[in-house]
Amino acid sequence: MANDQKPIISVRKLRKVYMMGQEHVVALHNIDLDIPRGEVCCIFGTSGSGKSTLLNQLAGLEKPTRGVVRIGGVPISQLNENQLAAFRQKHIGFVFQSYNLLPELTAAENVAMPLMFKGIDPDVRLLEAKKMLCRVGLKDRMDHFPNQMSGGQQQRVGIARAFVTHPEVVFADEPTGNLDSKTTKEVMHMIRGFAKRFHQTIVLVSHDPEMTEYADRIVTLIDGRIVSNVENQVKAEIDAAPYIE
Amino acid sequence: MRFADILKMCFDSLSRRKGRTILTVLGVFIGCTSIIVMVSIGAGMQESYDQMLKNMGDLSIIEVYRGYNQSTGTQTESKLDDKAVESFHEIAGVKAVMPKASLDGYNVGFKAGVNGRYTADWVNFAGIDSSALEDMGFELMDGRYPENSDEVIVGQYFAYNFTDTLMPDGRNYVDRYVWDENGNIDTENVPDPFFDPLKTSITMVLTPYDDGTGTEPTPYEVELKVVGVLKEDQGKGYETSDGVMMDINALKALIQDLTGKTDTKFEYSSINVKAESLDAVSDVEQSIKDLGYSTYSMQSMRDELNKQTRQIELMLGGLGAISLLVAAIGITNTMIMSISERTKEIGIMKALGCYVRDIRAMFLMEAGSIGLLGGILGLIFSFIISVIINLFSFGAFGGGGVTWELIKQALIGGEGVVRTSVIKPELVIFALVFSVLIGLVSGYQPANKAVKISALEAIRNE
Repeated sequence: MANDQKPIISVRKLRKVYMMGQEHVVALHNIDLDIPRGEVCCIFGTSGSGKSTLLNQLAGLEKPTRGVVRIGGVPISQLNENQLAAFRQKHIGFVFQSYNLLPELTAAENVAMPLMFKGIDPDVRLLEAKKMLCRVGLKDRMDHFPNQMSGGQQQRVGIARAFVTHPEVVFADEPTGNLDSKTTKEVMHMIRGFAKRFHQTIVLVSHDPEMTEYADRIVTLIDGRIVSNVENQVKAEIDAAPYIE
Repeated sequence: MRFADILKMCFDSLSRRKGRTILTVLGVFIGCTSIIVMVSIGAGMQESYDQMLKNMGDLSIIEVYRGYNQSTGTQTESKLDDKAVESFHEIAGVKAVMPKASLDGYNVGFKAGVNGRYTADWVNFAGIDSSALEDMGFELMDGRYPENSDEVIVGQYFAYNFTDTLMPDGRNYVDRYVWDENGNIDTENVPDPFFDPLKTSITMVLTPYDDGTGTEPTPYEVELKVVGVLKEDQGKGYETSDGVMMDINALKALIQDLTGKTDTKFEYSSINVKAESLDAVSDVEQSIKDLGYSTYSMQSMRDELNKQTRQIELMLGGLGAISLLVAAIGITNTMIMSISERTKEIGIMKALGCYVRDIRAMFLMEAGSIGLLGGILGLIFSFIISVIINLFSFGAFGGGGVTWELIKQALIGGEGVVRTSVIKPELVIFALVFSVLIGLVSGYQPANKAVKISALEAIRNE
């Protein structure tokens, strides 16, 4: 992927310190990172490496101790809660490890939820949601509740929900952590397929080396420091068969 | 978020935990019912007081007297004349003004029937404004209200004052008081008088009081045109029972005939003013006092009784409020539980871009709905209890039988109906608003707690 344009995500001198009782624990040391638009970037590291902390800062879920995170030029680390909500509605999608679907809503209603927060008409948003569900291959599961679906199906609903607003950036936190290897493949094909088709940026956090196969860029974290930041050539066969209907 | 979506989310979550919702609503329901029923009993006392006062006289009538200056102990310049009547008419909230004049210096007697066969002495006679009769609330037994000044109207038992001159003592009058076997006055089987005043020619005989000169005074006779019979109402004057009422203009003309001169300083013996409503009485009474007159009405007594019932209502309502307070704590508890169960859900919603104000609205609406639901159910149940209490007090269960008419009276009351439990419209509104308010207040702190939940909760894996 060419680096000729401005990065969509830019991190400067990011530092995060937690207080553990009386002790300061430095989770992130001076992080500098640029992620270009349209890339699938995998933040790779073992548990405790600070990768989840980095994701929290990137997505604005937590405020950094120092430094700044910009998404599309907006310093999201400095937004207040309302501005953040508005920003997330427009520009950010999430795929969670444990799917995080609301159990009392159907698949379609779950997918339509981000649109509901935007105040979009129920008919319009359900139509959008159903289109997304068709794309992830859940055409005949639209009115199922999460507990009537398998883990892989639930995560596909989660993906549909993350992409329904056509956000510029989608954060995926161990998206396949609870899935078997076959479903993992499906899900990763799907995420990558969406990103490529709609020119969206994916930030993937994982401790699973297999994940790196799907990333254009692999950022490795150890003890809160970036130890390597390399571009990765994704196998042609992965992009040749994106799992989207 | 759209309001309809917030509403739907709120009802989804309420119906998801049905058992808990029902129990919490039950708390509000009991609290609301106890307040409404308690206060309604206080209001029932007020209704019975009002009925009691009504039996003592028309509550909306203010009696006006010449002013009395307390510091000098003399009567003030305010006179009960035509100017006074006019100025009373101009006061806002006045429905009718009824001046009453007496005929001084004459003994008033009556003759009726062929050749004056029936005679009556010492009959009450008054000059009134006959056009104000209807507005003042004088009720007709028979005939119609006078339309011209030469027409007169008589009291319900006027004809019983007459004795038959052709019959011997003992059988020359009709006794209107009949006693039943229990020794009570029987008003059902009163015998008819000798004649119907509407269909009999009646003549008024005016005899000047003995002036002490020894000469026999000459009686002055006036033909009367009786057009109506009024229903007895002691609250409106003794004339409604036994008397004769002539229009004030006819009386003035009569006095002119008798004395041969016009009385330019004609004064009334009393003026009664009727207010448009019970609530207007105080203001009207004050306005009349400001004009320099003395007044009397049932208002001061009613005020005192109202104060008492209000105190009782507050006391009873306070007792009921204790259970509503317990219910409020129940709502808070339910909301706190609900929010701690949904920590992750709230985190997810925040991560997906839900505004803080929408989350707060969702939880406040949940708490408010619990309050409203409890309030509505409590209200319905209160009406049922109130009707049952009233039916008991009417004696409907003691063999009287329950009819729709009785249920209607128990619910909305009626003329002369005294209920034990009265649910006023303002109590209905108060109960609903208050229960919603209780819900909102109880839900406020938990909702703020929900708002503070971080979007990070969505990421956290148990």
